[in-house]
Amino acid sequence: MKKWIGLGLSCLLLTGCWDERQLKDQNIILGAAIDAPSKEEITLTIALPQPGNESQPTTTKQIVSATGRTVQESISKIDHKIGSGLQMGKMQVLLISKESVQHDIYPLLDTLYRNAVSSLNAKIIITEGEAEPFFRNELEGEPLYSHYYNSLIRSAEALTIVPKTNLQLFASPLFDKNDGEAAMAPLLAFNKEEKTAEVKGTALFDDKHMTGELSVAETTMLLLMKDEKEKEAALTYPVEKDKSMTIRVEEIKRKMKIHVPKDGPATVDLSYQLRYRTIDYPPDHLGDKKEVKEVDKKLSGEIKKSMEKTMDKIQEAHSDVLGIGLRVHAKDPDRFKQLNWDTAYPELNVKINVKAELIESGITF
Amino acid sequence: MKSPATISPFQLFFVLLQAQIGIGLLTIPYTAQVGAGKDGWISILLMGLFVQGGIAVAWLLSSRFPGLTLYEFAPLLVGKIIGTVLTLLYTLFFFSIVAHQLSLFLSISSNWAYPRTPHIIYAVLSVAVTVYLVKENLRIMARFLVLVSFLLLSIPFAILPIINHFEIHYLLPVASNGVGAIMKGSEKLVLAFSGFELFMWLYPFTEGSTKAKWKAAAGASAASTVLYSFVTFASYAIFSPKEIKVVPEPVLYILKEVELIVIERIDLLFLTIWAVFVLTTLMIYLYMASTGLTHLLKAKEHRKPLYVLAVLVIPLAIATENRETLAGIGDKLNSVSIVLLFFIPIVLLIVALIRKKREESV
Repeated sequence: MKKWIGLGLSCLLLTGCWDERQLKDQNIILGAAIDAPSKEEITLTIALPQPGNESQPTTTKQIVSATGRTVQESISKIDHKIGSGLQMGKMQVLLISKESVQHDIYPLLDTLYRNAVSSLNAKIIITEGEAEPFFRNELEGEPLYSHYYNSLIRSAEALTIVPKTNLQLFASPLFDKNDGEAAMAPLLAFNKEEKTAEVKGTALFDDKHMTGELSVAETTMLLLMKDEKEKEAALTYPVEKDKSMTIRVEEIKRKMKIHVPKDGPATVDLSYQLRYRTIDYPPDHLGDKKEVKEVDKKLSGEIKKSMEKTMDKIQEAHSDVLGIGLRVHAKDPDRFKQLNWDTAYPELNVKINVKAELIESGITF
Repeated sequence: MKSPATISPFQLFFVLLQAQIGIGLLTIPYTAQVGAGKDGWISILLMGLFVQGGIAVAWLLSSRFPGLTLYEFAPLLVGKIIGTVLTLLYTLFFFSIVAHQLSLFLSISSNWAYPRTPHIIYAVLSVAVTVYLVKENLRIMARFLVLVSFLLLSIPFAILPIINHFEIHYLLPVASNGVGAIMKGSEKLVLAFSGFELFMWLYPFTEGSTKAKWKAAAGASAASTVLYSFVTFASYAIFSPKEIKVVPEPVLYILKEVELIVIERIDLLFLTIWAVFVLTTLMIYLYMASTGLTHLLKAKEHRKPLYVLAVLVIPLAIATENRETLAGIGDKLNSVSIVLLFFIPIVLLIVALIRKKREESV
């Protein structure tokens, strides 16, 4: 008898589920775009997928936009337009227009950090022009837009042409204006003629708004400077009058020395040891040791020049993406406060030293 | 009221470890930074040292009365009336820890995973599971606690994939906020470390030499100190010092980003593992509270008092749902626990030393 009472009770208690989210009642959002020309006007665009089957792949079914004062208000306005509940937990990409991040980006992201359902490994992307057309325009041969943008960024990350980031990694710098590190995110443009999206480089942030951008080549340089080479990183430089060469960076070692004298400005010494392989070298005479030395020397100079140019650019944007401020703070917090990093960073004297070394030339010399 | 079932020192180790690791595991990096900022992990190590002191006191005390629990030897030291008051105090303390942990458990799980499930359902389910085990004797409980302890290994494994996102510079320079801040950080952590005091009740039920018992208790506490400071260190290396101020459950939050090849949202998976740690803490404390009540009522066995307490704890736990009130209650419990975990045992030990009381001499 006792057993039966127990059984009955557990049937009553263990069934029922208040927090079930059935797939058939849910719209799973894989990607969203935000355009916020002013602080009070946030347009959210979402792409709803159409589940696929064996004969037909998953496609984008519907694009819906709504404007509200907060992101959540826009979401509920979208809810008014479509039948079933929105499910943000599977979001893969979040596109935000360049215009929207000229002012504070944080209000656009807060809801994603605040609610437990959101997925923080979604890629954050800044778009040239409005973000909405990235979902509205036709993409050649790509049925599922969010997936395409996600894989575009992932492959770009592997090639070291965009910084590796996601919503979570992006957040930390937003909170620490004065402690150094700055946020950055990939920059994407839409190519209407070819009906594709194109990686344009990196959006640089100072505090919570965008202050500058880097081209693809500069981004690679920056990531090398940050010692964040991914699977591959290719660089192209002129070698002779009308010939250029392309190298692949195999290994890069960084030494960062920070001098913070008690009085006077801080200085930074960056020295890099870079080992590379040639993957494109039209002059064809790498069999000669002397020649190799020449090329090494020339390349070291060229890379140094690009690094210095990139450094100038990030300093100009007030964007301390190398985290120099963080290191100065770690070394001497009192001096860091005295320095007033906001004004000290653009004036910072950075010395860069590069030593490139050929280790492999492919199967020909 | 001596239960015949005894446990081995090995089991004692896990009982004490599971008693310490509970709700605090998720929130300890946040709690520690309130006072100590980025040096919170040092506060935890420091607190671990204090706890070792507390264990030494408890051990010295208990080894004078090897066959008695604190409920039984306190009256011998300070008289019947104060002894009864102490029993009442400790029983109330254990009971309020159960209620507090349960309501925190409900609030965190509803915030993270089950926003629409009524708290009462969750409360009834967890208390039912707890009672189911606690109504048995200590040995059976201990076996279960040893069994689930392998889950503790999941903590370092969950954090492993994000190690390459660590920004060690967030933690530098070490101890720049001064010793005062570190001490202030430790002060808030007593509640997270509570559990070691149970040594004074479990001592007589543990077999083996006094030294083996001490080793088990000290080891358990050292293990939880290491675990706590590890998760705290990891949280501080992921979140910048200002960011951590807005993240009350950093350990879950850092797991939100982890993406293994086939699984996403490790935080939700970890939540279920953590629920086991919370339940084990509830079990041990509910057991302690019910044996306390048994002692007060001079009842024969702890089952009936247990059922009474279990029914009482549910309304108490669901009465306080919001985080602000819970944090306030937590602070008060923390202050009380400084007295009950450190102060009273020390006083008792001093009395025992002065009056030269031992179990044989009574």
